Amino acid sequence: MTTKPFGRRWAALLMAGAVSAVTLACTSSQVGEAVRTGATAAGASEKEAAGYGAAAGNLVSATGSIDPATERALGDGVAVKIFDRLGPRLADEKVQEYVNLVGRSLTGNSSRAELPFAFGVVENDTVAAYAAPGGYIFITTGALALMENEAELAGVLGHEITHVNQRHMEPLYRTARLLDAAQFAAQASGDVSEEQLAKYSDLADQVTDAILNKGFGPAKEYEADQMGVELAAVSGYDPNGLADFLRKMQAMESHSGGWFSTHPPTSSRIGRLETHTTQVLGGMSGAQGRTRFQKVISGMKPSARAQQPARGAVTKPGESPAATQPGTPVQGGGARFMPRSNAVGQP
Amino acid sequence: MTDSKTNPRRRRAIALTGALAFALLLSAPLAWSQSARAGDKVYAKFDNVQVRDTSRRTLATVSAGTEFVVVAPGRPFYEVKLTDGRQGLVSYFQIQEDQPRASGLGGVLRGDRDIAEMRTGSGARGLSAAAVDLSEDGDATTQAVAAVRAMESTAASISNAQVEAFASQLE
Repeated sequence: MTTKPFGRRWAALLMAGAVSAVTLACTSSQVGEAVRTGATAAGASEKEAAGYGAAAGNLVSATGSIDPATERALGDGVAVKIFDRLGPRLADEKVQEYVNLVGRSLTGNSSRAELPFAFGVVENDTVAAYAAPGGYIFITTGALALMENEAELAGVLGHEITHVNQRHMEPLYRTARLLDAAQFAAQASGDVSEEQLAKYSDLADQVTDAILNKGFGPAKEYEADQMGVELAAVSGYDPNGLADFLRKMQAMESHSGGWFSTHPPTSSRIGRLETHTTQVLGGMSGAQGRTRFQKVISGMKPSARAQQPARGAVTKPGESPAATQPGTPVQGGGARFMPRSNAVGQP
Repeated sequence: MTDSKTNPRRRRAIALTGALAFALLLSAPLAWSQSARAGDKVYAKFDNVQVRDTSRRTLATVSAGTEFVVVAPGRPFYEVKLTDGRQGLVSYFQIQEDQPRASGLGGVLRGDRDIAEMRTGSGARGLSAAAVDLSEDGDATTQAVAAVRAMESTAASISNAQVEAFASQLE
């Protein structure tokens, strides 16, 4: 190698710094294009510049932000896997529409208002909600059954929307390192090869596992709590909704214990939320939306093929572990339940 | 020792380093930490950002890049002044300190991410072909694929006007 060691060190340092900074906010294609342009300007041949651009783009794909189309394509697969593992979509369209209206009221005030969010109610008595890449948000009938008003629903949905908007899932993609499969899926319009499909399915499985079983870590969960409450408040809801809901969860937790073993303790979440609401939101007030919530949710009709448990019913830890296995089919004739330890990161 | 001007390896190393350093310089302003203070300028992050009064009534709906002057920063609202002198509240999630649609390469790095999201938001819904194929290949059930289709369909059937009417009836 003829390059001087001093020059190589500088090159490595600059490269690391540049890539770190760029990955904070740019997509792989943007970085690839920028590097290609810069390399051309610096005297590289067109072929060399294209190579550098592709390499930089691939590096960003593996370490940083992805473009919305790829994120959505990945989310499609994760959403399919989530329904497969949790249970059927609630057939009651009034409830589905209502949850979408509440969710869209929030996303319209959020930092990614242009993302096509979709909200779905899953028939499952576990008290849980989930966010998937690209703006898919899920909430269980068990969670809805525990709520008393729309402000609580807004708080929970706000938490999940924040996971999407703050891109809390991106480290999962980095871990998976299979993003090219999702990028391919985003571009594919016809038949997908078996090899690509296998990679895509594998990536969706890995991300789904992480969402359902591992969560995003305490720091991101606290951030989702706080920003979710702010999102609810800015949309006109009582910012205490999420804390009120968590208190009900805490009461249930005391009976079962260790539900959310990979989640911050519920008491800690409540304490932080109370501090945040007082110190940052200055005791803001808002609407609870109790009347219309009760009107819609009290009439919630389960699908014919899934027996809905009693409102607020609790499933024992470890029940039906098959529900967490990838690729297992949706069962008819009875709701499928996740083990309590899987209700992680939610809500 | 080989002349750097003629050594291909060294030329490549310099070119790559220069390119990445260039990207670093352009992307540096991206790390906005919401440090805006009274009197600073901020901008609407995308189209249809609402400016409200203290009763949450809509004063104005502005497009991407609309300039505001900060009266008082805060969470979850910034108090801002519009160029026509009116004052109102804007969700702090929906403003940023740099203009979202700068031109040239700086624009590519600073603004196109938001623009790409707008395009996604205004356009494509529907499952990717790969997600549909998951059921055909036995990696998922047809019910699960149908469930996601139904989820998307319900979401797509709700207009922004319906959402606004729903939000305005909150009590």
